Amino acid sequence: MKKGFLIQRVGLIVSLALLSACTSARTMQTTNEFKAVENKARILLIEPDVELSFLKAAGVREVRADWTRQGKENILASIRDALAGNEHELVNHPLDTNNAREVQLVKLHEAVGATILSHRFIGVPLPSKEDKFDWSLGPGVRDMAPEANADYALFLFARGQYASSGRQAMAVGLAVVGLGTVSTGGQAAYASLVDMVSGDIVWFNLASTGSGTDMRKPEGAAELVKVILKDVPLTDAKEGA
Amino acid sequence: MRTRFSYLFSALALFGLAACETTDVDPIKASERPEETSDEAGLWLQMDGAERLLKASAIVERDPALNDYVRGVTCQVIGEDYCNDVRVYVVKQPYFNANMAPNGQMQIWTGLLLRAENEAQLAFVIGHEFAHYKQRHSLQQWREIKNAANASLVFSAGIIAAGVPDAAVLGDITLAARLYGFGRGKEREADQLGFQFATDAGYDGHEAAAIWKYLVSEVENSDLERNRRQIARSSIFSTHPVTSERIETLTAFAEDGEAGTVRQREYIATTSPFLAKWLEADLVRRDFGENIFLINHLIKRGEGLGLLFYRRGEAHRIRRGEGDAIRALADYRKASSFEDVPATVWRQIGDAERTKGDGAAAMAAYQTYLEKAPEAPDRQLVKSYLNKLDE
Repeated sequence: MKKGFLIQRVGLIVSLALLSACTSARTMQTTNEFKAVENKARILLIEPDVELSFLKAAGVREVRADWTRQGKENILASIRDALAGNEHELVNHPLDTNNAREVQLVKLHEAVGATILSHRFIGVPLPSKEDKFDWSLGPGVRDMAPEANADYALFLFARGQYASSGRQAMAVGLAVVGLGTVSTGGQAAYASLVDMVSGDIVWFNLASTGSGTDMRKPEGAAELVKVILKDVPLTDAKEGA
Repeated sequence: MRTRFSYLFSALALFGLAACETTDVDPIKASERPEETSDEAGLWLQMDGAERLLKASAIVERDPALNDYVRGVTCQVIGEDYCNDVRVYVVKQPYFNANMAPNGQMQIWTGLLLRAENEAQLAFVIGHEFAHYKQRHSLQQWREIKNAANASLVFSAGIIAAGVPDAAVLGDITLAARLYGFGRGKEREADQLGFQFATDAGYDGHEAAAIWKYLVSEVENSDLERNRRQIARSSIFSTHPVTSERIETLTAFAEDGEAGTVRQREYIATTSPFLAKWLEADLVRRDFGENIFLINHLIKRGEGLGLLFYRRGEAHRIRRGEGDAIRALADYRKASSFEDVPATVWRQIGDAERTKGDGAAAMAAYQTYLEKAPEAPDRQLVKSYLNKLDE
């Protein structure tokens, strides 16, 4: 199957992010006019786009359905926990795969997120975006669960790779004979808080963790979510990191 | 010291990595789904994601009558039990192709529907693709990739350790050749099973080889030398059985079997509304030799001749080779004598006559065009030509 340039780019960015060994996070907030999120906002938690794979000895990546489901559940539960201290109303929104608009919006978030990454976090800054952060998914986001009447939506894109013992042996072995290093996996994720009226990305963050934390386990997911939700304008100021 | 580590490491690699996963899998049962913890479930998950995008894409032909027909033939071939496991998408691509994903997503490309001559030929293609699904060929292939990648790694790690780093690239060549070699074996199996499914459903076995025979004759007329060479070429990198071998095998199958239905009338009735669109799209491939050969082949059916001569005129006009302008005009003139000719033929005759310098003939054609297509978007332009010719 042919994959688009964008998918390749997302793949590259995620691999780059996976290479950095330690947990890191930098957040972006919109420079557009934006009224801060008040308490009792209704927030749509869009089914996270997660894909977790097994990294085999030769570097073949095998997607695992069970890990992916587990990771998704853990991430959603961790987000709920992380935001539990506030009075927001959190509405889970499982993706309706028969709804082409919803499928496209999740893809759009993946594409815009990858573009933000490649011009803000890694790669070349855009001169036209030097003093501003005004990315948007557009007002079309209202097509996402219009009946929920949500104020904001939280999108999250995450990829994880976990090395087999053969892969780990390979990495050690190659390092020993002086043939450099190979990846032994890791996790990367980015998330956006989207204003459901304008479609603007009011907050964006990237987090990557090395092979230490593991979103297949509840505590690993909690750690990743804690890092990624840093400075999200949904927590009370006194709780802000 | 380093050398000793190297040997130690290659020995370690050979023992540690050479474990192979079995590629001997049972056929999938009707409504069977893979275990969530399996590698197969991972393949399905990825293909489900790809299918969601396909489903939402403008590349899918959504005409209800055509989809119902293709779906009907599919269920006929694969049986009611499997019918709910397979989803067929008619994909708007001008190439002769069909494919099958492990999760039950089947694609039939319009370039194939354009070239199949009857329902039996479509049935054999569907049978072939369904065999890939039923035999879990993608899962087998995936496991072969993993095994071959590990073997290749053992090979290249061994060579690197032996101090000949350049030879490491050889590992990749054996990897590719092994994969494609396995691919050919699976295609043979799919041909055999597909033949069985379609003939069991009552279709005439002779049509299985016929579609390939036609394809060979079309490609022999390709503008591109590369395409013409490809028919005969057998290399370790070609995934499908050499076409001549395939035709021989399928012909031999048919000799042993009973005669069956072909259903050409139903096929033509369903696909002819798309002929104009598909033939035009075929020119995107920029292979005029094949396009004209295909049109001539369709002309032999003796139906839809206005459209077909018009499309042949278009192929000649766009090719712009020596003598093509004259050929195009002759085709347009011929097309205009049939009832089903598109009105745009008069616009093309007008343009051709004007270029030739025959003002009177051009004016007559343009006037006929405006009469036959009073709402044409280019009518103002044509009127301006008429005014100029009138001066």
